[in-house]
Amino acid sequence: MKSKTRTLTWMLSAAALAALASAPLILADGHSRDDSRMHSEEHARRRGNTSLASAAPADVAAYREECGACHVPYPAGLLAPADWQKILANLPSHYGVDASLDATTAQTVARAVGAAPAAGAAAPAAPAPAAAAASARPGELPRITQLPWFQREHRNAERRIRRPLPQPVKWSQCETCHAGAAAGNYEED
Amino acid sequence: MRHILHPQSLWPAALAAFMTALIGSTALAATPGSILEGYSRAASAGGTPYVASAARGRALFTERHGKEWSCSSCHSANPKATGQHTVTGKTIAPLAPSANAERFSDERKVEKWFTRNCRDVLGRACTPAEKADVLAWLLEQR
Repeated sequence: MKSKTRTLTWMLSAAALAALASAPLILADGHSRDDSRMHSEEHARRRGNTSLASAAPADVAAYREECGACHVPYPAGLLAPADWQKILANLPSHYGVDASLDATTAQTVARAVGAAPAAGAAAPAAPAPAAAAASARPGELPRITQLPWFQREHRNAERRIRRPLPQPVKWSQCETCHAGAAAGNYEED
Repeated sequence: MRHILHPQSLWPAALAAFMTALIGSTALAATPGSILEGYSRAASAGGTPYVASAARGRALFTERHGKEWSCSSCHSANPKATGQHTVTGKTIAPLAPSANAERFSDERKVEKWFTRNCRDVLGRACTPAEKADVLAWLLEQR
C-alpha cells in the first residue's frame, strides 16, 4: 500500500474508532441512561432518609410531625435548599392550601431539610452534599414529581411492580406503593 | 449501687418529680372543655358571657362559605368518623373528642389548625365565637 493511502487508512480508522467510542457520551442526556448505573452517591441521596443525615433528631421529629400531617414527609434530599426555602417562604399558599407555621417551627423545619444554618452556627451552612440545582421555575413552587430524575425513576412503574396502579395515579402519594414512605424508607419499591 | 437507691435519698427526688409533673401538666395540658371556655370568654363582650351554640357550630362546619371546601370536606360531616384530606388523600383521625381522646388537648395545636383551615374554608380567620360554636358541636358528639 502506498504510504499516502496507508496514512489515510490509519486516519480514517482512528476517526471511526473515536466516533464509536464517543457515541455513548454524545447520546447520553447528561445522566446514565440506565438508572441502575446512576452514580451511587446520588442514588443514596435520592433514596436517603427523610431529613439530612446531619440534622438534629429533634428537628427531624418536628419535620416529620409538621410536614407529615397531610402528606408523607418528603425526603429532604429530593429538593435543593433553595427549593425548600421557596416552599417555607410560601406556606400560606402551599400547593393550594394554607400550611402556615409559626416562625420558630418554620426555622426548625428549615434546619431539618437543610434550608437553614444549624442552630448556633455562626456562618451559613455549606450546601447539602450533591445538592441539585433549584428546580422551581420563577413564580412556581417546586414539584418533586416533575423532576427529571423522578420521572425517569418511575417510568414504566406499573409494569415493573407487576400490579395495577390506582387510577388516576397521584405520584405525590408515595405511600401508595412505598409502604415505608412515612418513615423515609423507599427501598422496597 | 444499692446505697444510691436508699429510700431516704429517693424522697426529695420523688417529690420534685411529682411537683414538676403537677405544675407542668396544668401549665401545658388543656381539655376540650377548657379550650371551649377560653374561646367563649374571648367571645364575651362587655360582661355578657357568650353562650356557644352547637347548632351554629354544625352549620359553620358542614356548609361551604363561598370557597371550594367546607370543614367537612376533609373532616367528614360526621366528626366521629375518619376523614380524608381532599387534596393529598391522607387519612384524618376523627375530630370529635369522644372518638379521639387526643383532640383539643393542646391549645397551640388547636390554634394552628383553626388559623390554617378557617383561611382555607372561609378566606379569613374564625372569630372566637365561631371557634366556640364549632367546639360546642364537636363536644356534643357522643
